[in-house]
Amino acid sequence: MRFATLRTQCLTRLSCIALCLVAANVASAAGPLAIQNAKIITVSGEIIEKGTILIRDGIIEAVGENVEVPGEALVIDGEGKVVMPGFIDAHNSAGMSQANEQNSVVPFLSVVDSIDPIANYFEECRRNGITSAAVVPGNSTLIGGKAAIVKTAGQYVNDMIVRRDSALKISLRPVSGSRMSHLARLRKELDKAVKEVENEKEADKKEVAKKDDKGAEKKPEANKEDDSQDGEKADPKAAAKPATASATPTAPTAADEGMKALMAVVQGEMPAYLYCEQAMDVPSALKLVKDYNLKPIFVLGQRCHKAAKLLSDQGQAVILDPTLVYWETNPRTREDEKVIIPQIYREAMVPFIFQVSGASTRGTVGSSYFWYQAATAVKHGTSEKDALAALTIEPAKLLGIDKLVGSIEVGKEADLVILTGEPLDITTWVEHTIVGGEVVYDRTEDEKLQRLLAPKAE
Amino acid sequence: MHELNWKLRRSALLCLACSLIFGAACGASADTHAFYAAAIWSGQGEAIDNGVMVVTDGKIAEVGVRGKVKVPAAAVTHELGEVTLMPGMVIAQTSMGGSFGSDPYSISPEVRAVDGFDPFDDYERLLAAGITCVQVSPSGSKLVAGQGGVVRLGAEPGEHIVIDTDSLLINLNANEFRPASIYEPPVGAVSVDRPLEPTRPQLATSLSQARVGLEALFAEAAVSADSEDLGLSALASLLSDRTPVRWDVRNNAESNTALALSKQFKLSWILVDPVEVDAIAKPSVCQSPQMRGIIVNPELSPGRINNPAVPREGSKKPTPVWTRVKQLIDAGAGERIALHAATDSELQQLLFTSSILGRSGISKTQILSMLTANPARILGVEKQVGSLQPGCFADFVAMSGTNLNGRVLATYSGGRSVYERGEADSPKTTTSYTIHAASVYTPNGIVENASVGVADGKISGIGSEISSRPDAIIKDYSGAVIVPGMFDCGVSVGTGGTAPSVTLGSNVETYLARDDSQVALARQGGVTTALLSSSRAPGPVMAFKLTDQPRVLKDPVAIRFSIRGNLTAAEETFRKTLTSGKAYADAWTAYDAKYAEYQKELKVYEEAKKKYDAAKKAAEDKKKAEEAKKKADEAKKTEASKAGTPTPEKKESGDKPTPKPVPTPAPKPEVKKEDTPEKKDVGTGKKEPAKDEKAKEGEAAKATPELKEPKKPTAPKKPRASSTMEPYRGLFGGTLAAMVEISDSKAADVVVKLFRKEFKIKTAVVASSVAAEKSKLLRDNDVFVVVGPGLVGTSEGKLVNYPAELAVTGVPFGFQSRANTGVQELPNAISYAVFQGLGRGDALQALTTSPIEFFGLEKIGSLAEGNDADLVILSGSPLELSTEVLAVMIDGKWVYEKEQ
Amino acid sequence: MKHLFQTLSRLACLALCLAGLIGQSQSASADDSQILIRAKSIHTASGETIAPGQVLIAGGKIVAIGKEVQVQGGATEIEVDTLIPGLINAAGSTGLGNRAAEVSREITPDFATARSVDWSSRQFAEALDEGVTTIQILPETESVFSGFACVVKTAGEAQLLDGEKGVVIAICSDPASGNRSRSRPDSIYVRQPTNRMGVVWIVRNALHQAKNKGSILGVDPKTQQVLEGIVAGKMSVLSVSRMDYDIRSALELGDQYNFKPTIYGGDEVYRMLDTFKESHASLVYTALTTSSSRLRGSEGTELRWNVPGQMHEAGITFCLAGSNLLDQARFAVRYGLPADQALMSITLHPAKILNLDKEIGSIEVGKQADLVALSGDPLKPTSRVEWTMLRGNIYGNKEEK
Repeated sequence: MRFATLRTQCLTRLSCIALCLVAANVASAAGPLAIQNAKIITVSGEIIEKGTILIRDGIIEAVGENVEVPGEALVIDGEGKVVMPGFIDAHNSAGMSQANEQNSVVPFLSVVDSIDPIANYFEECRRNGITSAAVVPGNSTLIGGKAAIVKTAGQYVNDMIVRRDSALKISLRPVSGSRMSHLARLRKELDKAVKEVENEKEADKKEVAKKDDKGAEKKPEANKEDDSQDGEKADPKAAAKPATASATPTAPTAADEGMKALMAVVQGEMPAYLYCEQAMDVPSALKLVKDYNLKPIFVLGQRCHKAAKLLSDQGQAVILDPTLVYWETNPRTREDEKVIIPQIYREAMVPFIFQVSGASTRGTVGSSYFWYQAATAVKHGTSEKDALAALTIEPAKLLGIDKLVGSIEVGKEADLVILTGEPLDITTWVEHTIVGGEVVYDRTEDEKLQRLLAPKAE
Repeated sequence: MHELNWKLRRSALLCLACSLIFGAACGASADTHAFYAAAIWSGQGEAIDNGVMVVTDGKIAEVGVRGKVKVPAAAVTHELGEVTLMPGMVIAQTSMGGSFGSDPYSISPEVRAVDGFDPFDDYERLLAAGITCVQVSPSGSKLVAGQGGVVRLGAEPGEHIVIDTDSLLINLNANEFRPASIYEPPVGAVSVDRPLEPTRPQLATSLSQARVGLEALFAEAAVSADSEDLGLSALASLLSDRTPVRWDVRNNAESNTALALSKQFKLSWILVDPVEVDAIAKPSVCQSPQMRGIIVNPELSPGRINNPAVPREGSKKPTPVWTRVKQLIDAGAGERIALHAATDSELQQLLFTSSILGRSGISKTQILSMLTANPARILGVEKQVGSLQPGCFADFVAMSGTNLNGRVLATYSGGRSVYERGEADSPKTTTSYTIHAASVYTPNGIVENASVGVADGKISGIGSEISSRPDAIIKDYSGAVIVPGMFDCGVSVGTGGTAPSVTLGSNVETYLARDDSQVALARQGGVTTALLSSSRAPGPVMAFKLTDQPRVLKDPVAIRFSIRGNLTAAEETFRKTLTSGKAYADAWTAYDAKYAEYQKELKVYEEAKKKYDAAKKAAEDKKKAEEAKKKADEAKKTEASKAGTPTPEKKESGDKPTPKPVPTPAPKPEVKKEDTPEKKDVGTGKKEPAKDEKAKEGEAAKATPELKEPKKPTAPKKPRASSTMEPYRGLFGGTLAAMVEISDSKAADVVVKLFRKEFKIKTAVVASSVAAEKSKLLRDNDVFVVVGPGLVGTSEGKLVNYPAELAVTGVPFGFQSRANTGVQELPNAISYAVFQGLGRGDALQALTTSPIEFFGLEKIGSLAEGNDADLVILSGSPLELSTEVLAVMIDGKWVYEKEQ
Repeated sequence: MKHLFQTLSRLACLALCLAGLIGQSQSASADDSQILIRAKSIHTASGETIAPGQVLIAGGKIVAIGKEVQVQGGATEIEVDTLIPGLINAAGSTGLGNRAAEVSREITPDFATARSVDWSSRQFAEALDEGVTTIQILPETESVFSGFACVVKTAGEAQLLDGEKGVVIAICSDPASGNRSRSRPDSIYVRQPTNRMGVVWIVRNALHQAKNKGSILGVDPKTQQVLEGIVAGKMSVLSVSRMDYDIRSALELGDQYNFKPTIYGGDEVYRMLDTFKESHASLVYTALTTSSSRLRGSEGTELRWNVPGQMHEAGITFCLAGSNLLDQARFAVRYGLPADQALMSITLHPAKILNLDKEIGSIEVGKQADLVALSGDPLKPTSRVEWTMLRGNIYGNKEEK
């Protein structure tokens, strides 16, 4: 019921945005768009104090102090405003309808099937300047399925998708039972994949020519496998049975899907989100990375900070828990300790980026805003430059989309956010959010915001 | 890359090796350290004295004798001093791998305990106990529990795993495995992607069933190498990797099953905690190639007394662990026996409890090997840990003292110090304290809620308002009682177990062991000073303090005699001994007397000699003077002859020339005499030259008769000295006491007759019941009594309280425990005597002042300013069984503190 | 408590050292030395901002403020960037266990929260770390007359300022929802009331009886006494009310039984700004501890962001309360409250509402030396609390910098 209301609410919201787009007839993919006289934080290069950005066909065509603006270009006056690359959310499950399957090994699933374009989450993204987001299955799983990177604006999922199957979600937090059996099961799955890879190599060697036949003969072999199983192994074979029973030989079974994903992972083709809940999960994760040649994306729980040192030579950013500062009492000494996560990782020389979804600190006002997370890091010693990079280019790199987005450079997609002031100031608001050259958010048209800010007795 | 990776996965060990090299290479910064120590025990054989160990990048590079080994110039030097370096202890089985949450299966060969081990947890307590490496097994009541692995406790997290899988744990012990709970599949609709999970086969409810089941399981595993089933495939690969199986067994039946199955499936095996070894302790078993090791639990935990069950009729009584281990060693398993303990706290005490194996004559080094090299061998990690050999991790322990008997002072992992004993209990530092308590027992009565000030090991003050030094640590034991440290007149502790057997003349002290772990326990009861006697009789007795480095107060403090056997014979022998002793002593006393005499004479002689020399000089001077005068006269004569005709007066003067000159020359020598150095009374000389004249005359007179030198007195002849007889001088001189052990009442008479009446020796008898019987006799001949360990006994069915008896008659007495660690029990024993009627005051006196006075010791035994700060803090009034010892201080250092 | 002291005082030294002071480094205690604080800017909260400025502290009190202050005798000197008054949280639950609710009876106005405060609780350290120096601790509101609130300091000796600050009445859904049986269907075994009518009735009935000196069923003399104190206007009343109609009922009851309730919560006050203004009641706003992802308050109301701004415009006396006070003030500004007001709404205003503005709440001569040193502008989210001074004693931030 609440869901329904939300839905309708969102629909209205969306429509009104659509309206405003027409009304203000701001950018459409057709004509070029220019933002003039704005302070431009390119992230990649120097800050341009007063410059212009020219966008054509959703791509940044020119950036600089004196850029020629063609007459037909639609102009946004950036006087006194600050333009930044759109923020990137590297790990969230809010974009999908249900974070986890009850079955804990589902490598064949893809979040794409459960992304809801009009979810409140995406509206909030636009309102807060988030232009790209990786939607990832939740943490209560073993192998939770395939994540996808999407833009935060679009009517239909397919319009939004930047990369399907961007990574596989693996969680080291036991769903039920012990860490030991959890990991044992995980290894078993990966081992199977590795073995499968071997087999294929063999096969390829044997018959390079007869590719079609291979596909055909592979099926029955898969079935044999199924029969030989005693049924303990959940997904692949279980899923396979009906599939193979019903579908034509050519139709891929869940088993194949899942196996494909896992094989891609153990061959380092598809990255894997590794969620570590406790510090002790980090060494295990690192060992998996080494043993199975994984391409990891580390998602770290609060208490992982004890293992910060181990992550220093990974050479890539880790994704921190939304709660950046918390208190704990040492069980042995009864000492109260204030744990400042950004500081710990900074001192351990581990680059980090932020999460906003699922923040659960006691009454923290802002931990659901990326700019606030960045400000918190700056408060505890991180440089503003690094903090802003952690909202833009760093996650882009981590997700492997830094060729497309993450900074304001000629040739990159025009995912921009126009701020009313300095990014980390409390009074700064997102004025416009631009995705692929289209203005998808305009504060002056944001009814909901106005209602929140100017409450009236109704 | 992928190829390589796949290869790695093929062999866990290879993978491990690589990772280790890798880890070491990039982990530790390339640095070299040299550790010098009084002794280094590599984990086998004898220790190297005065050795050095070179550590590079956390691995041992070289070990050898100082000077022989060449140490790189770049090496950082660590002088560890009077310590023994030994390998960090390796525990061949623990359940630190964490337990299974709600895992439903009773067979889970796929799980690895290392996955459940949290390297970020706090292992300081174990490191403090010298344990640097442990095997972790999956805990929980399962038949096939899973794979155990090996981890290093001190290592950096991430580099902590030595091997993922050392063995597969199977519980045959009936208390361990139980039928697994039937697994409930997750509720909800069964769908393609969420099928019903089937229940795993339910195997064991009894040993026979377990065996059958396991046979089936192994058989199936053997053929289903790449099964989809998690468990089967895991088991299969374990079998193909020849992974040993670790059988948790207790009785013979279980052992037999284990051995049989191992044989059947060609598994190498490890047995854990067998309490019956009849099935195992055979050469055929112990030396079979499949045998990997046997892991034994010392089955002892200090502080917990468990009551052994009374063996039922027919059932053979259990063999104690030390015997069992001996049997196994004799069967040839020596190299492959390791020790472990069940609980965390027992692990911490393992270094101590393991020494119980000594009871069957197993040597200390053998025992230590069971804690270091052997477990490493069993786990197949002997190349990495368990011994101090090149290539191994520099995981080692610095033990106090050099007789493998000390306590852990510091623990190192990968060459890094991961634990150092806090200064609180380090022997060096003595700080000053102000200890407050409800009441303090001082020589002049009990002072209610007073404080005791302690500074530099001495008592600096006692009273309610004493001022404490600025640096003083304030200890408030409100409600507690402070009594002086107690005195045990006979212990067998302090020598690390060996009984000191020395003859008179040599010192018991030489047997004292530094940091004897037994001492640490012994003093926990409040005894701070004790007498330790040679096992020989007659032999010396020494008084020492139960400090880490036992401090000798007086050695010898007494001579131990023991009268037993035929008394008349004994009496004679003793008479002989004593007479000869006395003779020796007397000879010396006589000599001493003579010598004193001689000294006197010598003084006199010196005097005389001086005078003589002086006189000699004076005489010479006189001669000179005469000559001078002669010259002068001649000069006059010549003058006179020169003058022509003499005038009347000249005539006059020339009339009587002869008599005149007599007085005239006198002044001249006078003048001369003025500046003669050895002239004493110049002043008087000036007054009456005449007298002086005489004096001089006299002197001359004296000097002249004996011009020959005064005769030097001759030193008396020394009697032949003999170290063995030396103590007797003390004995008869009254500075040493005789401690006579007697067993029957007649002996008491003999003692009195001989020692007291005939030889008048300060005597103590060591006896309990006898003393009580003969108390009057002993009192009248003031003989001191050492009573104990038995304090209350029965004679003719009625209960006799020996100390009480003595106290009543008024015999001075002290207590003895004759125990080593049991010394701590002495106060309890006494409290029983008190409970039976012995006055608490008397008891306390007997525990402190009276023996101390008798043996002529000073500065201890009472809480008085300036005395040694030996004190005991009790939770309540002393010698109550309900009272607990809160802390013990010796020489101003806390040697025991009950942990809160 | 003792433990807490130790940590804090240890930190005190630390902070002082860090503050780069010369001379002996034992923590500046209220009694002995004077302390001179040099700040780049001082937000007094009682008017103008002095930048740069100096504050002289002696005997735990502020003795001089200004651009330059005369110091006779020695004074420990401390440099800071920004100085603001110690923060005051008018609605805290610091040190109360997870269940501070008294559910034995509905009418327990004489139960004192102070009795159930755990003085060694970590929450005090946390509060201090956030710059909070004074807290009013409210009882949980599961019974209608919940009990006495108490006012405490977050550290130091004599932490309890007032154990019977005022009676908390829960005119909201809490007592009802608290009573709705979760296990079994509502029955006589389940305490009443189970909805708002019941709550208000109990309040009215109790006060009515008290007014007419009648005795209330199952109420002991002490309770009676307190209730009579209320109707006699001798007892201040704290009404926890969030929905507009709850607030209205609270005010009405106040008029009927001549007490002026202070409203705690006030989520929906924006629906009745004028009415509230006329009532001259003051409000402790606790709804700002939310983020855009959470849009609903504890009673399912849609939360609005700029209620503080509107209250200010309407001229209502109010303060912000709850956790993270500085952040609350910052977000209040973001949503539309003037900056100076924001700072006052967590310092001077709560002091006024608690009738403590004689001693605390602003940096003025004669007031207690409760100060907070910040690394920058108080309203910048990047500004850090360096240390907190309480009655002249400095307690360092736990963070090494």
